[in-house]
Amino acid sequence: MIEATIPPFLIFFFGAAVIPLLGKGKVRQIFLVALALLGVVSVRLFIPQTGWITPQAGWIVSILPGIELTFLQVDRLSLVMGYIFVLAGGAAIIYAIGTVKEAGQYQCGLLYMGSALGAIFAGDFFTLYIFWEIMAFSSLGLIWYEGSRRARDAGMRYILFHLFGGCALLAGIIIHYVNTNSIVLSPVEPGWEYFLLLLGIGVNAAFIPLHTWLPDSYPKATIAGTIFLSIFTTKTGIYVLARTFSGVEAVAYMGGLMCLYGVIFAILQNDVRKLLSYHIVSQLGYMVAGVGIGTFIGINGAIAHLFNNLLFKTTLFMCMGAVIYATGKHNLTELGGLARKMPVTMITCVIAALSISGVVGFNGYVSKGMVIHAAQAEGMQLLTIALTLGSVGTLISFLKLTYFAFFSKNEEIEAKEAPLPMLIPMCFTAFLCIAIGWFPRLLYGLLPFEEAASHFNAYEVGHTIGVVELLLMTVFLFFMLGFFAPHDKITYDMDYLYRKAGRGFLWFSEKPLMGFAVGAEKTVLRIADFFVTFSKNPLRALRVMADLIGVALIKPFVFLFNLVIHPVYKYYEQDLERTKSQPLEEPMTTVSLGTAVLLVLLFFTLYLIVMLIHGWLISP
Amino acid sequence: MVKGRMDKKVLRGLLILVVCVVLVVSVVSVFLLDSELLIGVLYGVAGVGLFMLLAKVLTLIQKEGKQDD
Repeated sequence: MIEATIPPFLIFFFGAAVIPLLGKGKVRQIFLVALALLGVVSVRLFIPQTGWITPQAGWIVSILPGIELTFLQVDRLSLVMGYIFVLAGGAAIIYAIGTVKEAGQYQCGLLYMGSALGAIFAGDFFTLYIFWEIMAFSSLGLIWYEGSRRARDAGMRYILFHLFGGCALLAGIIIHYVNTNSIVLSPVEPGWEYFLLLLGIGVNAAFIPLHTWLPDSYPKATIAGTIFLSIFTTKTGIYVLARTFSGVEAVAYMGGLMCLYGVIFAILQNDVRKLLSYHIVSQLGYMVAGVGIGTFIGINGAIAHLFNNLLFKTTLFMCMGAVIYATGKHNLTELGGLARKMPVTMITCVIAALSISGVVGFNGYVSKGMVIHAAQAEGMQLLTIALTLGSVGTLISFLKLTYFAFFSKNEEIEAKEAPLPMLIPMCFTAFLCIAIGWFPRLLYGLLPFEEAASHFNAYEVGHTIGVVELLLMTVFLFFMLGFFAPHDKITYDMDYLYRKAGRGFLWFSEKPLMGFAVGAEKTVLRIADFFVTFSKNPLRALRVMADLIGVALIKPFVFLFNLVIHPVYKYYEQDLERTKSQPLEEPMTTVSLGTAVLLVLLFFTLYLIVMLIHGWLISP
Repeated sequence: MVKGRMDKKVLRGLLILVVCVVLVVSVVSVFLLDSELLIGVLYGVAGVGLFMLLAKVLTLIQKEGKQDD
C-alpha cells in the first residue's frame, strides 16, 4: 500500500524544479496554493499505524551490499510530524505569496520543506543525513536572500554551525554502522557514536550552548524565510532526538535549562523577531524535556507541544512579519499603536501569544501541562519547577511583545493592514490554536501513544486553578512594576565568546602556527639539502657538519659576550671619554663645614682603631 | 486632575495590599497547611522575581549598538 504512495518530499522537490518556469503572475500563485494542498493530501493518504514499533516502509533503494536507503517509513511519530509540517509549511507557502517575488526564494523554501519531510519519513540514518544536509543549504538561501551584509554574515555563521553538526552526525552514523552493521534509525548504545550523534542533533535542536546560530540568523532572514526557518530545522532535530535519545535524564534537564535560558534572553530583546527566536529555544526546552523524560506521556507531551508550537509560533512570526512589512520597523521601541491600524494582525497575535503563554483555553496550555505532568509523575521536581517558571517568563515576554507592538501609544507610526495572502494563513493557524485548546482530543488522536494521551485530563481542576493563579499574578506584577519595558541595548549571548575565540584562532593560525610552519619547512629543506650535499661529497659534508657544530657551540659564548661583557666594556670606555672631555677648571663639589668636621672625626676615629688593633696584635 | 491622580495612587496602593494579603495567605496555605490550592500564586511571584533578578544581572553585559557590528 505504502509503495503506491509518493513520498511527500518528491512533491516539493518537483515544485522547486518547476517554479522558475511559471513566471511571476497568477499561474505561480495557483501552483503554490495547489502545492500546499497537495502536500497535505500526500500525508493524509498514509494509513495511521497503530503501534510505535511497527512502521510501514517503502521506496527502499539498495546502494551497496547490505546498505539500503529507506526513503519512506511511516509510523505514528513520523505521521504526526508530517501532518504539522505540511499544515504549517502550507501556511508559510501561502503567506510567502504576499511578500516574495523571487523564484529562487520559493525554490529554497520548497527544497527546505521537502527535505524536512524527507528527513522525518527517512527510515535509516544515511537517508536522514542526506536530507539533513539539503535542509541546511536550502535554508541558508532563505537567509541570504535578504541581501544585506548582516544577513550574509549571519548566514555564514549559520552554515558553519550546521556543517559542524552535520559532520558530527555523519561521524556518529559511521561509527554506529561499523559497530552494529546497521543504519536503522533507532536508539544508540553509549560510546563515541552516542556522543557524536547527540552533538549533531543538539545543534539542530538548539541545545545550550549550541543554540547561538538560531537567534543570530532567524531575525536576519527574509520575512517569509523566517517563517519557513521557524518551522523545520529545530523540529526535525526534536523528532530525531525522540527517535534516538528518549528517556535520557540528562536530555530532560537540558530541556529545563533551555526553557529558562531562552526565556530570559527573550525578555531582554528589543527586535521582535529576535525575541521570537529566543522563544524558539525556550519552547524547544519543553519538547527536549518531554523526550528526555521518555515516558509515554512525556513523549506525547513533547510531540503535542511541537505540534502546538508550530501553530502558535508560525502565527507569531507571520504577525511580526506583517508588522515589519507594514511599518518597516522591527524594534519594540519604534513600534506601538498598531492595534487599530492592523486589527486582524493584532487579534491573531494576541491569540498566539495567549497560546504560547499557556493560558487556559488555548493549545499551549494543553501540551505544556502534559510535559509538566510527565515531569511531576517521574518525581523530577527541579525540572517541574524550571518548566513552570518558564511559563511565567513566556507570559512576561509576550505581554511585552503584544503591549509594546500594538497597545502602547505611538502617534507617529503609519501602517495599514497586511495583504490578504498574509492574513489568511495567520487566521487559519490562530483558529487551530483555539480549536485544539477547546478540543484537545483532536490532537490526542494524532499523538504517538494515543492510549496514554486519552487518559490525560488537561483541564484537571487543581492544575487549571494553579495555572490561572500563576498567570494572573504575572500579569498583575508585569503592569504594576513596569520593569520589563523595551530598551535599545543589546545583550551579548555566548556567540560573543565564539566570535572572540574565532578571532583568537585566526590570529593563532596566521601568526604562531604560520611561523612554526615556515620554520618547520626551512628545517626540512635544510635536512634535505644536507642529504643532497652529503651524497655528492661525504668528506666535505662531514667537514661542513663539524664546522657547523663548532659554530653552534661557540655561538652561545659570543652571544653572552655581546649581551653582557661588551656593554659593560662599552660603558666604561664611554665614561672615560666623557670624563676626559670635561674641562679641568670644573668647580669642585663642596660640603658644609659640619660635614667636613664630621668626616675628619670619622677618619681620626678609624685611625685610632687601626692603631689600637695594630698595638694589640704586636704586643707580646 | 489632582483628585484623579490621588485616586490612582490609592487604587494602586489597595491593589498592592490585596496582593500582599494573597501572598501571605498563599505562603501559609502551601507551607503550613500543605495545600496546593494557591501554589500558582507563589510560582507567579517567584517567577517574576527570578526574571527581574536575572534581567538585572544580565544588564552587566548589555551594550549599545548591534551585536553583529
